[in-house]
Amino acid sequence: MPDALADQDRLVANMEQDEEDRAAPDDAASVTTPVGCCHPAGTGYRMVVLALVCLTSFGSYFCYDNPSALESEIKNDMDVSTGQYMLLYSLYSWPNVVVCFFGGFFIDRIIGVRWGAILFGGLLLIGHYIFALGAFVNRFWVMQMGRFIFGLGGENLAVAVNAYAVNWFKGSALNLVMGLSLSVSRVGSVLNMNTMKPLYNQLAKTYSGYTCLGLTLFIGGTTLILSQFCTFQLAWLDKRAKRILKPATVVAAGEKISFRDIKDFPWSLYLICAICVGYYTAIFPFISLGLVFYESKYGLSPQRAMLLNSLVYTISAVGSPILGFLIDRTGRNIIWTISAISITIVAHGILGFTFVNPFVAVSMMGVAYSMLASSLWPMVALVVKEHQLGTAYGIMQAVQNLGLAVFAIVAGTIVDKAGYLVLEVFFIGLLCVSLLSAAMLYLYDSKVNGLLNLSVLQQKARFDEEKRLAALREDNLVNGQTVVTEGKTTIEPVYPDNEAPRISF
Amino acid sequence: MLRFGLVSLVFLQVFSNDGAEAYERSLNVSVDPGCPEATTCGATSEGYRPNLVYILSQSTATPPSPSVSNPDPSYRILWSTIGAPTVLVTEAPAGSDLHLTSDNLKWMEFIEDSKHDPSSPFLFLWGGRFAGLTISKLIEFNDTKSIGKVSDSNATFIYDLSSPTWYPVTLTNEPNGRVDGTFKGLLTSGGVQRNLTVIMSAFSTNDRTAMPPHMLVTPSLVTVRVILDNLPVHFERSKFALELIYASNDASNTTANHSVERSTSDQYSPGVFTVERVSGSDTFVQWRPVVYTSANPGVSDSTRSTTSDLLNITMDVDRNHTDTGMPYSLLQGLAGLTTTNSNTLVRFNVSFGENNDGYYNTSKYQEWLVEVGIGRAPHDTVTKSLKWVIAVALGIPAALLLVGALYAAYVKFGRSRLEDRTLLVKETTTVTNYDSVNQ
Repeated sequence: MPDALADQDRLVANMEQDEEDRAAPDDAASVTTPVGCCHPAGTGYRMVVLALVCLTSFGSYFCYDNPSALESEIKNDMDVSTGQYMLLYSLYSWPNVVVCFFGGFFIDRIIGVRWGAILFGGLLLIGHYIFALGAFVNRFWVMQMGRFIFGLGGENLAVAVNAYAVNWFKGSALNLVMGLSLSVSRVGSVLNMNTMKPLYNQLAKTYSGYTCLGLTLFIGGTTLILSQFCTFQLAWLDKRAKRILKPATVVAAGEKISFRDIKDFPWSLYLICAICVGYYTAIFPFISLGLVFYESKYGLSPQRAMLLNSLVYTISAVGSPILGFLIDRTGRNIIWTISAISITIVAHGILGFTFVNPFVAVSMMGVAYSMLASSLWPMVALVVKEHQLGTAYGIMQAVQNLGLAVFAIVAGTIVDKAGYLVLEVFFIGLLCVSLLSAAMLYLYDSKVNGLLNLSVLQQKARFDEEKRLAALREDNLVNGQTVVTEGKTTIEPVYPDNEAPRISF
Repeated sequence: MLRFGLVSLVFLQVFSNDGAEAYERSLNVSVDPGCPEATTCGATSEGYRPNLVYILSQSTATPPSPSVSNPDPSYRILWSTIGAPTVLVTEAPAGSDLHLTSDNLKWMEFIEDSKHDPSSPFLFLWGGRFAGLTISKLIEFNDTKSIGKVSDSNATFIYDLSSPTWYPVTLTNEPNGRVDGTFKGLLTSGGVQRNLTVIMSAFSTNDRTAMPPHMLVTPSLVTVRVILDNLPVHFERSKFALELIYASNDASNTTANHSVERSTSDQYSPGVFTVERVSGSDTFVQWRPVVYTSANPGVSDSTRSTTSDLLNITMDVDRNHTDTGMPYSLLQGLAGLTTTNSNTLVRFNVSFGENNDGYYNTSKYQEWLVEVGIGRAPHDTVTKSLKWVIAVALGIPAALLLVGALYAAYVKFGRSRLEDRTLLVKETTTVTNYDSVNQ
């Protein structure tokens, strides 16, 4: 596999060089002549980039949930407990507790987004095939090692994909692109849930036990080969576009790590992190353990259990862009977030304490998950400054992964020792923490006159006002007065009467 | 571990954990009671023997006054491998003789019955309710469709459990007041000999079984754990099933019903949300439909069991695996069981395994537990501790949210009204000043 990667690298390098040689004489002309479908500024070119951005995440999400789709097979064929099985998810999350901090920095400052995507995509590919090999040779520790390597690439590939999306679509259709990317990713998750077990059953007619499991995982890994192919194509298209368009500056997604910024972050960011951890740790580990739960509690057939277990992702694939569009039109993100958490608590309550058709609760959970994903993450941009976004998202992802790493193990142990009812109570407890954090965020935001619960019109008015004041400050700075405060020299703008920067709604 | 002699006695005194209704209860255990001293009680020269364990479970609390009878009844419990392994639980009527004597158990009837075809009953109970269960057959079947359910179309290999030779019972006295009897039977197949293990337990207090599925137990029931460890198989896709015979003198209903009760709580048996029950109105046999495939199982070390329809026992028919009469056992020798119309007597199969879970050879170990008792079957519900956790986990955030909501409402509406009122006052003051200036 490394040889193949090296060949592909050389191929990309040669193609880039050839393209550069051919395109160089026409660079000036390309700016002035109407753009064709192969021009980077053309719609067709951008659509190809969009498709590749979406497909790059497809394989990653498909393979991430392979263990969930094959939960009982892994437990039986590898003879492991639920706790050991959940380690496969935990080992994905552990490296990302640290790596998320540095991945963006690594991409921004050292290797760039193109090589970053290729490198992290490669780690995913290698990690998954080690994981499959572990199953094939009946060595669970090899599987664990594979998932660890897979984890090294997983979240950072997402950072690189985000960087591509921002580079190509910032200021035009970024929200839509992000939504579509998430949708295609979730299609990967859904496909995984609905194809891996039938694939295993098909192979089980010829092979048995861990051999069958290993072969199934090997075949599942072909989606990562597709994703890796996309990273090479994206690198080539991006390089070509850069050369042809010659942008004045290239900003790689703003995923910069600036440790100095951390001290300036408002409390609201940490409350958002708490919401994020509380919520996602009640969703992802639940999906990881859901298959057996649906079979044992509701007596569903494996096929229907798979369908149900993938329903959250299915609804998310469809609902995320729609709800994102709605939230873009209404604002008031925090109310959407509180609603999403409340609905999820009710859904877990229904699953834990009743025998109501589980499709009802899981559908609610799917809608709520889409609602939260569309309302929570944009809130970060409303509470920190633009240049701090990378660090803020890095912290959020790291904390989320820490939560997932810890609670994946806890969830598995709870199922082994105390069953699914206690697990549901545990998830409801986590969601209550999340809900409490959201309530505190609401109060904090009200107190500091924040943006989180403003309608879109109010947000726009606030942004306009801030712009006007910023312009005013710039004007005043020209004739500003120098003020010495506690040993620091600052320049204070002089505001005209009735123009103090005090805004309230 | 305590090995009992021919007649031995153990006395346990424990406190029930039923709170206000706690009574001291003792378990008096004796092996082969009433056996004539001149005989070997059926033991063979090879050391095999029919086993009979008699347990008297009595409340030892002193009634509040001599005129008040003890509200906690006594139970007689019989474990036997006279023929097929059998358990019997009976409620002792007030004032009855609590000892098992030769009047109750006619030892010579079955000791001299070498053909295992007794001509007359040899067990006479004392009256009162009883519930009994006999494990009459172990059925190995070729599950070609991998559905985990034995039927007439399956190729089978039958172990008739009324015929194997049994080792002497081993009794253990656990600190929590539980008494276990371990019965090992020798199964012979094609020159290969393996053991079938049946562990019967009686309890002096309300508790849970120590091993999964941790079912609720009471002094008025007996648990029977069947362990199939490393048995030889005769088919490529072998699975096992047990044929069970349930008997009771249910007063109000002679028809036993098979029911499946669902529970939201799987706290003590992770991943198992149902209890299956064959019962009348005040006797029962119940089990969780789970078969463990490891001696120390986790959630993944298990498969399901499937229960067949209930069938009536017909005494006159042949004894193949699909249709049988009463096998040689303690139940067969029970006086009046088949001649009294008010008694319940049914048989059914419980198959081990489910669709696509592999076959017996995958684990070579299966373990299943069933309870037999009188009175109301214990029902598992959400435990108090879990209710507390739920109350705290939901209550505190709910209270804080309520406070937060009230505060937010105050901030949004209360404060703005206050400000409006202040503005009005200022406006009024201004007008007043203006008027005063005019004046």
